Amino acid sequence: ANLYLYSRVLPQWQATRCASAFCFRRSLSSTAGLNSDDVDVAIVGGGPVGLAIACSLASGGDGNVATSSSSRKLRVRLLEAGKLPSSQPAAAAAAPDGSFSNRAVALSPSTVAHLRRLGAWNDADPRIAPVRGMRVVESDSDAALTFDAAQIGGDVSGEGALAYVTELAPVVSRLVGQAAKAGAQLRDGCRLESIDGDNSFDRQPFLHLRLTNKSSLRTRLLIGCDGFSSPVRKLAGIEAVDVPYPRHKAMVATLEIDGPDGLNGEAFQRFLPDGPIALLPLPGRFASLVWCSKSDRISHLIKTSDREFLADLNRCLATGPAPAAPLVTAVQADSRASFPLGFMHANRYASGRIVLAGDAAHRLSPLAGQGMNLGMEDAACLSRLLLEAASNGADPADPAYLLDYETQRQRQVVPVAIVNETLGWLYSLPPDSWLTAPLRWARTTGFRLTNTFSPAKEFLRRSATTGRIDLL
Amino acid sequence: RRLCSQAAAAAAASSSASTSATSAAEAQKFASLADSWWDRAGPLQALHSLNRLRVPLVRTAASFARGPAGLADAELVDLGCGGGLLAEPLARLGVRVLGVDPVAESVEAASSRRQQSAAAESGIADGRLTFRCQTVSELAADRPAEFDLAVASEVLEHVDNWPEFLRSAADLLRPGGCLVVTTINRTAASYWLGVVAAERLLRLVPPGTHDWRLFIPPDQLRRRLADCGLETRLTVGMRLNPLTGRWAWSRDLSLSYGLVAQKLPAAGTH
Repeated sequence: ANLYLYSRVLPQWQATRCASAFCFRRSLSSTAGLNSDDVDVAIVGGGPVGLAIACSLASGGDGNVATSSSSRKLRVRLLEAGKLPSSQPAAAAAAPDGSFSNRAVALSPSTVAHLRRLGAWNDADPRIAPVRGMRVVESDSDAALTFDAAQIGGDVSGEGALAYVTELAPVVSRLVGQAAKAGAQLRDGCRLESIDGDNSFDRQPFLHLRLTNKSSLRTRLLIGCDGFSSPVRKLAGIEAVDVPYPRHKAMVATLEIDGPDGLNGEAFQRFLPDGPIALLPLPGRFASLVWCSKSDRISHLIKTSDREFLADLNRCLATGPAPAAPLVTAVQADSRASFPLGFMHANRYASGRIVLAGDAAHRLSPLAGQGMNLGMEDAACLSRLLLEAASNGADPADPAYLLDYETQRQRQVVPVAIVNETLGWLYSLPPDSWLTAPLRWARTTGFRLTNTFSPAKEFLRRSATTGRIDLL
Repeated sequence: RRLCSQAAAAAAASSSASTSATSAAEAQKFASLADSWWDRAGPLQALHSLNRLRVPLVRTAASFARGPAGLADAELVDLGCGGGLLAEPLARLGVRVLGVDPVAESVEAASSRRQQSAAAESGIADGRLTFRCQTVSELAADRPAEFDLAVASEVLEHVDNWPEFLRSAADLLRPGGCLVVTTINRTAASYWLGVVAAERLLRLVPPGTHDWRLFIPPDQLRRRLADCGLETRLTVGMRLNPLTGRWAWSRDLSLSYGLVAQKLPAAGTH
């Protein structure tokens, strides 16, 4: 028996009768205990990106178990340092109506289509809110950029929504279930400590991984999906442009909006000099807040009373001559939390037998909600190429396929990263200084022009919803 | 430089036009490349990247020859296997591969890599991947009608007497078995792009690799195949992007092309 794993398992897991999610117990007991065993692909990081890759690779395609006998099934193991959620989204079902987790994400239609293919998306879930419109305003002019779902014809999912706002936890839970069902081995409480020997494709047929619980693992390919401070990236020796923003922080909260329909499916964002403030619609009267500002201000806002927080929030939302902003009437108890901000982009996404995906490869400011969508596109692209490699009888770490992944993804990620961070910088210019006036004028004019120049707006909308930047 | 002693003796003993279809000059070219076969960034990198087209083509041939059973446990002979670049991924997919090549250095390179990989458990079960230094005609005499699939990839354009080669390849196949050929067309385009540009300007392949006079137009190839009782089922063009080094399928057959031909069952059976 593998006591190291069981000792970290929470009591409620042992009470859960979901046998399929824990089928890995049986496979564990059939291997040589804590000794080295071999897999084709080891994934470090049990977030949505790592789980989506595990699900795709283990199932040999889009959530369906591959029936072709001439394709090699990949042996996939996912290692997560923390706890993996149960595959039953019991927590969400038990949550009282009118309460939403403060970890919510806006998923593009192409990410949703990807999750649907993996069997991890429930279209009928009442806790998912489609975003049918978007209004982006500045604080020092009345310029506004509006996107309207009514103008959209035939996007990826064919449902006429710009994005879908959902709590993150149920998505992760469903992915855990699908990955386990597909045959991926999921291990939590497992942290990667070091890699023995060389990380070289030609000289080594395997990577030798050493885990902190003294066990070891041989894998052909290691995928790092372990977040922006990625230990895997550091072990691979991949350099990165890493710029933390220590003077800024972001906060999240769950809010209630005035009026019977709340935001009514329309997302709202205002650029303030300290940082943008955004409201994403949730079902009913609820909304999810993402507010970027100076660190001490955010720390104060987290600790202050509800009344003072709401007053401050409404004042900031209403700043500037742009048309009426939503009015926030309540904040959910215990939903205010903060997280750090920074920019990071790895110079290489692949090196030797190690490849990076998601935040481990690139970290953006949450200006346009692109972080998770870019990560899920990484997962889709990498899975597709690794499955092609497997069906061509190639080693999973074959550099030709990893280089293709890096090239295809960098072509998409780098422009988005540049635009995102430049936009952030443009909007952080001090509003009262005459030195920055020409830049601010240009920014506002650009803003107005984008709103009126349909090809530009159409390009933005298409890029955001399909997840691909195509200039033609 | 060394053809296998058996092959050389057979060639010397034969009174007809050479049974060893590979000339000594061609053999020397490949012998000198012995160390470069598995250098993925080296002079043979175009052959490595060609696997992304060749393996699916072989898989298609397997579906013609064996239906839904596909590649799993198919008996396949890789004629002119070189260093085993195509043989190895096919073996990983569950095919039983025999790689033959008349150039001893190439077979040595393939075998020693196989030994290294075996030590490192490359995912290929024992006995699924073997290499022999032999000519096609000898093998056809040894093991007629034993194989589901035969592959002659980037080989025919290096062979003096390719009709003879094809006849031997046909003899190796069981009825209903398929031959997969990839080779280069003889056109003005293939001279300027496939030889001059690829070898001398862009160095996509080592200079002197190809002799344009040995290139084979597809209709000639199809006719000779028909003479051997092989019916062409599929012809596709292949195109190399010189900037990315990636191959893609193409409708245009004027440069490289691939072809799948099936050995017709014996008369009276279907």
